[in-house]
Amino acid sequence: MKTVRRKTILLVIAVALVLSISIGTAFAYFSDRTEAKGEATLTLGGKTELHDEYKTDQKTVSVENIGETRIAVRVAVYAPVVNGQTATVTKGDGWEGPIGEGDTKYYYYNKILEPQNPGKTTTNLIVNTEYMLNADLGDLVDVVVTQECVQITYDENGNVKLPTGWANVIK
Amino acid sequence: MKFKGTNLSKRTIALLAAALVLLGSGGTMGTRAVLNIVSPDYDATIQLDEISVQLTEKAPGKSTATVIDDKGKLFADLEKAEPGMPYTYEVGVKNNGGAPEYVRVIVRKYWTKDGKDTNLSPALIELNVDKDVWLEKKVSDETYVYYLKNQLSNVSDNTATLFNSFRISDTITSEKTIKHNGTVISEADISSITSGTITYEYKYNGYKFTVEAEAQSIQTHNAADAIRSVWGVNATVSGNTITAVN
Repeated sequence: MKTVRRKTILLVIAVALVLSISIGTAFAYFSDRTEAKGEATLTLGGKTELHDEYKTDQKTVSVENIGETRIAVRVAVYAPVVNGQTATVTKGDGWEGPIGEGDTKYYYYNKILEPQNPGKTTTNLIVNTEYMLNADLGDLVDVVVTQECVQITYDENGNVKLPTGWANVIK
Repeated sequence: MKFKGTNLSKRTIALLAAALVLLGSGGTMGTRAVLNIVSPDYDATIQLDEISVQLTEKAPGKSTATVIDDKGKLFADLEKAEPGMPYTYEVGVKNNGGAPEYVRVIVRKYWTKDGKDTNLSPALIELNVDKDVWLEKKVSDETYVYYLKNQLSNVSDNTATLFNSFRISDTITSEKTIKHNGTVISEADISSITSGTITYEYKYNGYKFTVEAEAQSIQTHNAADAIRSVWGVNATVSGNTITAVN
């Protein structure tokens, strides 16, 4: 029994040796490698503060970027009609408008508002409210301003691209 | 079976006899002198050229590319990325070895948030690769392999640009929540708002994108076999050009 087992082992080794002769020659090839990694975090969003100063015959409005991103801003001015008259708006450098359809028209700032100075705050929009002094006693009159800001995005060529519905006045 | 008159088996006797024969034939014979001539020693030096590849980057505003160390950083000076903006970093390869080589670059792009994997599409990370120069093979949504079609020389013209800019697609801002004085509203409601502040909160704010690049180079001699053996793909090499990869 022992002899049979030894013969079997010897036979297996012999067969393995014969088969190994048929294995092709191994080659080593010259090669090299190197790697690197790049990353960055996206900060999206926008945060603004409306500065609103009211004197007897005018309301002065500006918008300040208090967030961390570069944004576009627009404001809408709602002023009452008094005896057929409505407010006039004096636009500081950079403001364009009113632009829009129907009852909703916006004043757009044509520069990107930066998260830090310079360029953190718009110039003034001055709403002339003197005409409201003609209002009838007891009428509630006020000028209301809404503000809106959006994240700046770009197209493939690096041109500013704003959401649908926004006038792209930033060049 | 033992030999008659002895305790030794026939096998043992046979082995002893064979030993005696061997001793006898190995005995000292007469010595002879043979005339021989030995040639002088000749030295031959064979230099094996090194195969070597580097990653390079030319940052925006810079006039020359710099070599990126192995496991180094790409876009190192990029602090924030704005959606849609093309960032003109030119990332490429350089043959700094002693022989021409074939090169490929494995690129992996992905998004994470607070250190965790996300499902945000890697396709939003757009690399401007010159596909006339590089053969693109997609492995997965995250991973692409770019094969430089022509051999990369080790002398003049020993560099090749993989991509000359990248951008994050501006469509990443399409998912957002609009609020009026903190209350969620729809886009259609915006025109009816007559006071207060309207803000946009973007779903992918705070997401981080990563681009990994691994450049690999290989000898040009027996290129198809070498590529199959080392890179594990079948490449069709015609002249000095990889024309196809399977």
